[in-house]
Amino acid sequence: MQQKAAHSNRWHLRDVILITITSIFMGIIFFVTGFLYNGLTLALTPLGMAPFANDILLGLWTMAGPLAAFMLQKVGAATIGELLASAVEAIIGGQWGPSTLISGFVQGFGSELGFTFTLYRRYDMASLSLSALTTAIVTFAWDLVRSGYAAYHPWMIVALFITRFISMWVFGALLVSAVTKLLDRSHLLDRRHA
Amino acid sequence: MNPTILLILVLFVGVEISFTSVIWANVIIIAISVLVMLRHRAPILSYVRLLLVPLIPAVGIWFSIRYFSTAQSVHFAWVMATRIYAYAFLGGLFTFSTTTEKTLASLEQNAHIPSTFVYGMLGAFNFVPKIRSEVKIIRASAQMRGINLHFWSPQLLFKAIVAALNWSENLAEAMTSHGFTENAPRTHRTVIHIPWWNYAITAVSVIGLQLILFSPLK
Repeated sequence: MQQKAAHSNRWHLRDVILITITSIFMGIIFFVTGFLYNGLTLALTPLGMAPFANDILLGLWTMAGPLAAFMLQKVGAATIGELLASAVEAIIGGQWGPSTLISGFVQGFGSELGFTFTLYRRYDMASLSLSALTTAIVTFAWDLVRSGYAAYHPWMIVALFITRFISMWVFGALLVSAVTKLLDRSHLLDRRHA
Repeated sequence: MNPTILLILVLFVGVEISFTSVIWANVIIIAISVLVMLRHRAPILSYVRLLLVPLIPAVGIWFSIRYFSTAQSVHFAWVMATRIYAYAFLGGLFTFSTTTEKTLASLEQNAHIPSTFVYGMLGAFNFVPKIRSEVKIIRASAQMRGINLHFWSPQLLFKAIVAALNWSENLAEAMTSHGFTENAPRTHRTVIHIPWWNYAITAVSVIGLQLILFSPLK
């Protein structure tokens, strides 16, 4: 019906609903990770390594951005997708309240950059990996300030960054690419990308 | 207070305490949040939750700053621990001052967020119970075939997205057939105004925060 318009950069009602429902799905699926996070933090606290718990699992929280970019293939899809996901998290009752919105925007902006650098032309493993890298860099810069990472010893900062990048790559590139391969094979998105 | 103004204020305070390291500012923010929550008669359990949930990350970051920061500063360890609590209580302040519906309605009318986003989200939130049961159904039906789906399984996410695709098409069609036109000008049964004292409270809070942050208080 509106196949031409679907490929434009405008957000339609069904896009907003799709991304919101997908975010709620992911929120409910990852609800376990909230507890996983606490358990991991608890285990690492006596070693003083608690921030690693955050960086090991951060890739899960930043998956919504690349997934939205892939499903909608619009300029700004990663940013708005991640922002919607963080709004969902804040509304359903995440741990961080409105500060989730700030992180959501930072994460979305980070993963958006990866697709911006490919001029929104490539949606494959290369652009997903690039997006994982830009997300890691942007969110890390924010955590240097917000989570006090700048105060750590240089070796710890480097180790945290590497951990974060691996997490973002595994979840944001490897897992997202596996999901999108299944989606491509199902041809369910063809009508949207027509 | 008007949810949009409150949200902007809460976000502003959250960002500013991220860039500064004053324990007292965090403590005062927590105290003000508790006062606001008391005024809105938040249940006792919510205070307990706000105290317990950030406990593990707060203790965790306290130890790692003490062990692995270059300065090993006790002061900075406390800044980080109280900052985590300040974020959580700012969340509590906002949550008990308003509701999701009021916030989204105010964001549409006062912040002029496109109505497609506001009503799209409102519509999608009705699916929360259905989504919970769908996740159970997907996992159960996989188990019947002897497959255990974990949260990192692409199959689980894929099936979730297939359901999301179907439901979003259906809901969007349903809303359109009930007369919703994307981003068309709308009239409102309840028009949300921003009373003058909202601006006054915001100004006083922002100025007060600067006075604390740039005072000799640590």
